[in-house]
This record gives sequence, C-alpha cells and structure tokens, in this order.
Amino acid sequence: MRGLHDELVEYRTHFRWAALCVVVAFALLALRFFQLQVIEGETYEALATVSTVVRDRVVPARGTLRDRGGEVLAMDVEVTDLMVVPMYVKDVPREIDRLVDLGVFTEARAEEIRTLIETALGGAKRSHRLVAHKGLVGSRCPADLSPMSFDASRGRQVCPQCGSEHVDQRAVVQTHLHELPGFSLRGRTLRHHPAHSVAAHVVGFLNEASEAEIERHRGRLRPGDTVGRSGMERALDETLRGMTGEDVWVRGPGGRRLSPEELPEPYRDVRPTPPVPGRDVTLTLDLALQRVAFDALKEYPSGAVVALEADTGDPLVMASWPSFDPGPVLVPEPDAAGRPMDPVYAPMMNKAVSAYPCGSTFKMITAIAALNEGLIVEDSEAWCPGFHVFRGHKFKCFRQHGHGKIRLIRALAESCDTYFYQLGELLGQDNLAHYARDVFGLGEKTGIELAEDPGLIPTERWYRRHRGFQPGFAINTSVGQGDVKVTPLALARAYAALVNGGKLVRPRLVKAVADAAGGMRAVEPEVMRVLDIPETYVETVMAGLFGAVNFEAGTARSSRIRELPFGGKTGTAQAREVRRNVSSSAIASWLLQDHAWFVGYAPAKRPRIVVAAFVEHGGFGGAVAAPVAKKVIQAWYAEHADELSDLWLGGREPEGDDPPLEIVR
Amino acid sequence: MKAYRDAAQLSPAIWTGAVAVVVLVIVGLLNLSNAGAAAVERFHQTQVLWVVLSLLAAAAVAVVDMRFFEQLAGLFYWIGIALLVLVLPFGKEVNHAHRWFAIGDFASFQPSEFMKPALVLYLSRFFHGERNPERYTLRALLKPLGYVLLPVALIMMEPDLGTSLVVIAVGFSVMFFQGIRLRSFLILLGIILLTVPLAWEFDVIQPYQKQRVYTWLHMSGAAENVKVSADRTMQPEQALWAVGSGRLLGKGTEDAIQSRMRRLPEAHTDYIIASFAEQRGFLGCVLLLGLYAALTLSLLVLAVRARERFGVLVSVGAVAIVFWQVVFNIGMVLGIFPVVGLTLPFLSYGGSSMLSSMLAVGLALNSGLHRGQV
Repeated sequence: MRGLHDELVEYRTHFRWAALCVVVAFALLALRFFQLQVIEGETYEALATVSTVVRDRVVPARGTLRDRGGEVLAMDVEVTDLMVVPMYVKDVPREIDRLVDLGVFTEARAEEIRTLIETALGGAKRSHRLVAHKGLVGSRCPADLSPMSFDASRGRQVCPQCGSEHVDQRAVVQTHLHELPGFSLRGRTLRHHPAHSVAAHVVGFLNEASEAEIERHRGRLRPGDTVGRSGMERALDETLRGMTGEDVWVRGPGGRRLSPEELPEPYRDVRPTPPVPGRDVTLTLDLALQRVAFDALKEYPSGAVVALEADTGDPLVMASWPSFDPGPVLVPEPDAAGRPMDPVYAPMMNKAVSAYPCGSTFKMITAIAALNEGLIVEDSEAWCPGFHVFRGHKFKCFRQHGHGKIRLIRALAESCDTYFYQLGELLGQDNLAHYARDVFGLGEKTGIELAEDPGLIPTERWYRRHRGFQPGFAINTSVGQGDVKVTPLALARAYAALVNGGKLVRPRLVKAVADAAGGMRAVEPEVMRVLDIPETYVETVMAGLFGAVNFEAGTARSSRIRELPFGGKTGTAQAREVRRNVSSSAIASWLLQDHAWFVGYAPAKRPRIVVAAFVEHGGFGGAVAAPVAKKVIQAWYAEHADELSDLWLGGREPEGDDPPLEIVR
Repeated sequence: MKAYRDAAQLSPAIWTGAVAVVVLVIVGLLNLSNAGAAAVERFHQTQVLWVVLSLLAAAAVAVVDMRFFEQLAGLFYWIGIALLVLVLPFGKEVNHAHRWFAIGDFASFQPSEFMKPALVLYLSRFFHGERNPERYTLRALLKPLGYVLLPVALIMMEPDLGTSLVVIAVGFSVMFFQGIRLRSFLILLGIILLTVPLAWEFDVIQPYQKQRVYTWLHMSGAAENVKVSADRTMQPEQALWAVGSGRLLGKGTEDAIQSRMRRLPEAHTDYIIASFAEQRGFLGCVLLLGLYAALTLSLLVLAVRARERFGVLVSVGAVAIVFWQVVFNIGMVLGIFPVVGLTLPFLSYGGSSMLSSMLAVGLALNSGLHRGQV
C-alpha cells in the first residue's frame, strides 16, 4: 500500500510529463503557424485574394430555322421578366406607384404585384427572387412577338402586324432601375414561330429535357434545358442546339472579376470554353405555298398536303391539318368556331407522314406494272359492265352502270375499277407489291428526317402470316384498297419518280446548314434508285393522268385550270371506321366517309411539282382533294409564271373523248 | 483558514491563470467584433452577456467547497447522460445534427458541453474512492472506461465527432494522470487503433466525416494541389489561406480579405482562429498560444498542489478540457487533423462553449484556492 504522500510524489512526476505534453503540443502548433505564415505566407497571401472560381454556363442561341426563301420558321427571341426580391424593396407602395407612373403597369396589375410582394414579405420567400411580371414588353409585339417599329409621332412602338401600340417596358424599367431597389430584370429565351401553326408539324417544338435525356447527354443538358421534341427541332436538335460553353473566371476581393494578369499562379491557366452557337438551317419548304395548302385544308376536318419538287423530290409543302401553335406556349389549334378540336382529329399528328388507304391513286402503279410486264399495251381494250367477277365474287366498279368498252388511258382518266381489277387478277398480289414497293417505294420509309409511318404494301407472305391469303386480295390491291396503306409523302414521291424520268429520291427537308464560317452549306438531294421503266409506258400513263383532270369525263375535271394544264389521279378510299366513345354523332358519321385523295403534277408537260392532297374521310377524291391540290398548283404557277409561259396551253380546250395528248407527248 | 496562510505562496500560479483567462476573453471579444461574420452586432452583444455570466459562474464554482462537487458528482454525471439521451429525439436540428436544446428563441444549450466537467467530476470521485492506489490494471479500469465511453457513444449519435474526441481525450488524461500500468496503456492503445478502421468499415463514422478525412489527406499547403481539390476542400483550404496570408505581423482588421469577404466557413465559431491569424499574423498567434500555454500550465501547477486526490484529478481534468479543445481546434484549422466541429475556448462565439470553458477554469482554480481544506 502506498501512502498518500507517495501518490502525491507520483503526481509530481505525472505533472512533469503533462507539462511536457502541453509545451510540446503548443510548440508544434507554433511551428505550424510559422510554416504557414512565415515560410509559405507569400503564396497564401496571393491565394487569399482569390475568393472563388466561378463557372458560368453559357447557353448559345439555338439555330434559326428558315424556309427556302429565308422566311423565319423558328427562332430564339429574348424576353425579359421583371423580378423582385421582396426583402430588398425599400418602399413597396412608392416603388409600385413609380412603376405605374412610368407606364409599365396598369393599376390593376400593380395591385397584383403589391399583393405578391406583401404576401412574400410575411413568409419564407421574402429573400427569394420572384417573378413580379412575366414578359415585359420589349421591342417585340406581345401578341405574336413580331418586331415593332418606333413611331416618333406617337412616342410609342407600333406593331406592323396588329397595329397595336406599346411602351418599351424593358427599356423604361432598365433606365429607372436605380429608383426601384429590390427589382431587377432577367432575360429569358423563347422559341418564336412567326408562322405559328402553318408549318408546326414540320418545324416541331421544344420541351423540357427528360431525366433520361439529361443522363444521355451528360454535361450538355441540365434540368430545365429544352430539347427538340418533334419535327425538325427534334431531327436537327444537336445541330440547332450547338454546344454549351463555360465562362470560367476568378472572383477576387469585393466580388470583382480578376484579370488574367492578376491571377495567382495556380489559376493562371483558368480559361473559359466558348459556346459553339447553334447552326441555322434552311429547309426546302416554301412557306407561302405551305400557307396556301394549309388554308385550303382548313375547309375540312382533317387532312394533309405534300408538294414535292418533281426533279429533286424536295418537299415544298408538308401541311397537316388540324394543327397546333408551337409556341412560345404549345396550344392545339381550335376549330373554326374557336372550340377546342376533338382529339379524334389528332392535331398533334403529322398526317403527311401517316399512312392511310390510298384508293385509286394506286392505279398508276397497276398500270405501269401491267404495261411493263407486257400484259397490255396502250390500246388494250376491256369491257366494263360495272363489275368484275372473280371466282364467283363480284367486285364493283365505282360507276354502277359501267364504262362499257374502255382502253387504258380512259380507264385511268375515268378511274374504271373493272379495268384495273382485271389487271390485278393477271398481275397477282406479289407482282403488284413488287412494283409498289421495290419500284415505287411505297410501303417503306422514304428516309425523310421526320418520324414517319412506313405504310403497308401487303404481299402473299404478309397475308399468310396475318389472315391467310386469297387470290382475290390482288384485285383489291390493284385499286389501292384492301390493306394497302401509304403516306401522302410516299405517294407524292412515287408520282415524282414517274414524272421525273424515274428518279426515286430520298426526300430531304434540310436544304442547307450554316457552317462555322457563317456561310450556308447546301445539302445535296439524294436519289435512292432510278426506275427502269420505258418512256413510252410512262407517257401512256401520264396521258391517262392528264385525262383525269382535263377530259370531259375525267374524275378531277372540276378542278381543271384551262390555261394551266396539269395531270393527276384521284382516289376515293373506303375507310369506314367504327369507333367507340366518339363524342358526337357527327364525328361517328364523319368516320364512315371515304378518304379523299388526289395526286397531281404540274405542268402537264415536263412536270416540276408533284402535289399529293389527302382529306381524311373527306369523301370523293375528285370533288374534295383535287380542289385542294389545285389551289396549291395555282399558287405555284403564280410564283413561277415567268419561267413557265411557254408550257401553258394557251386556252385550247380539249373536247369530248378526244384527248389532246400532244400536250404531254 | 490554513488556505489563506498559504495564499501568498500560491498567488503567482493563481494570478497567472486568472490573468490569462481574462486576457483571452478580451482578445476573443475584440476578435469576434471583426471576425467578418454576418450580423456581428448581435453576436457581439450576446457574447458579452455570456462572458459576464460565465465569469460569475466560474467565480461561484471556484469558491464553492470541493466536497460539494464530490457529493454531487454522480448526480451531475447522470443528469448529463439523461440530457444527452433526451437531446437525440428532442434537440433542435442544426445541419442534420441534434446537439442543442432550444431555450426559447434566444438561446440554446448543448448538453455535451455540460458533460465534460460532469465526467471529470465523476471520474475523479471514482478514483478518489478507490481503495487500491496501485497502478491500475485494465480490469480495474473497466468501470471508468465505461463512464467515458457511455457519453462518447451518445455524443457520437448526435453526431458530434469533435466533442466525443475531446471527451475521450479528457477521460484518458484523468486516467493517465492517476496512473496506468504501461501494459494496460499499450493494450488500450491497441484497442483504439483497432476501433478506428472498424468504425470506418462499418459506417459508424458518417460519410461526411469520411469525406473530411479524404479532404484532409489531399489538402496540403502546397499550391499545386489547390486546383485539383478546389471543389471539396474549399472550406479548410480557405482557412489555410487566411492563416497563411496573415504573414508575420498580420493584415490588421481593415485588409483581412478572407474574413471580411465572409469566405471563411464558420468564421465566428470553429474557424475563429483563422480570422485571428489573418489579422494578427504569426506574432499574434504565438502570443495567443503563449496565453493558452500559460493558462494550462498554471492550472496544472495548481492541480498538483492540491492535497487531495479528488482535487488533483478534478483540476487535471478541467485543464484537459481546455487544453484538448485548443489543440484539436487549432490543429484542425491548420490542417494537422481532419475537420471535426469544435470551438476554440474563450475565442469562439457561443454561450455553451464559453460557459463550459469557464466552468473548467473555475474548477481548476477551486482546488488551488481550497488546497488546505481537506
């Protein structure tokens, strides 16, 4: 047992150790201070001037989309919002009165802002930057963002479109910002579509990027960024978007940006990455022509028009109705009475690249197939009693009493079903399918930049796989019925191949893309294949198509333009749809109607434009679709009148059954 | 009355300690007023209030008879434990940790600060009451080890790694001072060294704490590394820059960019030494360390002069509270240790911290004042 004394002696020993510990510890700390402050002090002093390395994301402007004539289809427009941090507002009533005095707001709007600020002041958001007023009027008309011009006599800006007057609120607020503590301006980019709904399906629209997309484009997209969601905005998203850059800079004392010379050593190579601006793109579309087609379609509930340049296959028109206004806020177009369109009319769907039964427009292909296979010659005659009997089944001609004795050209012009039933029977399903698909490119994607429906050209094999084949199917196929489905675009392309010397093109909407130097780099049209069809056969068929518009008994005779001859083929496709849950009986009976088609080309001789018009459940092709195509052709003639004068017929009117075929031959 | 006969003999140590404390408190208040924290005015007034309260409390603790504490040591300890348990569900959440009880809107109270002196008292009483004054074997130390580890575990759960480290260090300081056999010491050391990787592996150590260790490993004064680590090591790095840029004499209060720009994390609490170092330079820092050393050593001198085991151990523990917190805090700011949240006694802003440091000093002074009264 140790005594208390021993223990206290031992404490003395421990005290020495403890004291040594304390001294050593503080000495070590002092040494570290010495190292940091005296030895390395200079370095740290330099570093301490640096507060933060700031990385600001620089999002480049998205490329502008234009039509072939340079009309803007979609462009970025800067708009300005009035922001407010309620906590920093010195005198709420006075500042708001000032805004009213400046003519920025009405009393009513001011009251709303006052309420907003006062509500926020009482809550957690008082230090947040809130939107006081979305979209101050700048240099563009608030109605449709078209640029306004300043009218000195009225002291205000005037919109040339709607004639309304506006104060440049952005400029006014900007100059008086010092009187408005707590208020600030924030720029925001909107996608402006001057043509609104006219070319909406082709141009497409932007949308906030999904999480999956942000993941896929790591580092290039951030939450809140927009991406092309449909149409060319989607197809050309990367081209139009460009590359996000980064402004890297060093914030020094007082928040100041340090110049490169001031940077301490480790920050010397801090360099910003400039953004790569989005590229402008010129489309092949002709907005004026597109507008004509669009307006023509508006008379019907639903439809589409495609017009191709015959030689290159470039789409001049790709209109789909009903449509939507792509922005800045996406809105489906209301109907004529201003009511929202019934979803059955599918306003968001691009019908120019959606597949439908094409009816008699298919007969062009049946005719070429029969001629090329040597089954008939131009003068081959058939007897049409108003029906064709095949294995006991009676296939009716659309003309109940028949066409009597009829040859190929008249059969095309008057769309005699019996004639083509017989050809279909002779050709067979697979032969027809071969000509439709392998030759004329129906039933497969055209390769355009947009998402498209390939359509369907059924073969024997397809039938066997789906419902069992019967030889009678070929008879339906020969007149574009049965299971045949084609898109207006694919049909227009097939007709273009017929009339342009056999070039089956890959239609392309991109005409030119801006290069880095600022010039436009043209994109060459691409020919997918050249059809090997003797010219005489083509001439024969074109004579028939000419007759369809210009003969007395032609199915599209009512759309004839006497002095502007063009050819084409009508189609009336049975397309009865019985759907449940339709909202009205009018829609139910609409769904029972036939699809109306017309594919035409103009001029009749050496055609330069092919127009496919489709009116969904529109009725008789010659009466409904042909007039739509006619309007487009007329407008196209008007645009190109000076180049075409020698090709005009000059008022010579064809009579009776006598085809003035010298026009086409 | 024997105490007052010896007073003349004791006075240098007592006076040194008392003066060191007062000077530290004054330096702390001056420093806080230009530490560059937001709403400095309010902080400063609150802090002055706390200083006054703490000084009164320290004086009270210093003059109360040590036997009072001896008798109440158990009560204090278990109240402390109860508060540590209660703070887990009922404490207010700050930065995802439950360390404080809110007392109205004005103040908050940190039970772990109270636990430090309570543990010292309880451990001291345990050793005081031990019949066997031989060097302690491991088995004999099981009980006091438990007394240390119980609050440590609770504080870890808040979580508050810094304070639990201080509690461990304080507990061990008391044990070592009482005397441990070398073999027991080595075994304990081995256990601790084993525990760290296990705690690391089984996620007892929080991810953010691990991150701090990585940061510390990657951080160095060498400037080449700054850029690489720019994102994650920003806080500690900023503190290093502030310290280093103080150079020999300091920048004074006007030009201390880092502090003024409020770039320093926790500028007025855990990182207070960084703004002090920036403004006062190496000389100021050495003087400050000198003050802490003077305080610690003088209190240690007082400790061993106590004529009673309880008094010695209480004083040593109290000194250890202040000492370890100073060493851990400054060591962390200077990048010697990984970041743990700890205040710097007498300099950091905060009532609980000031009060607990002052109480510790009061306890240490107590055994000096009452040395003859056993």
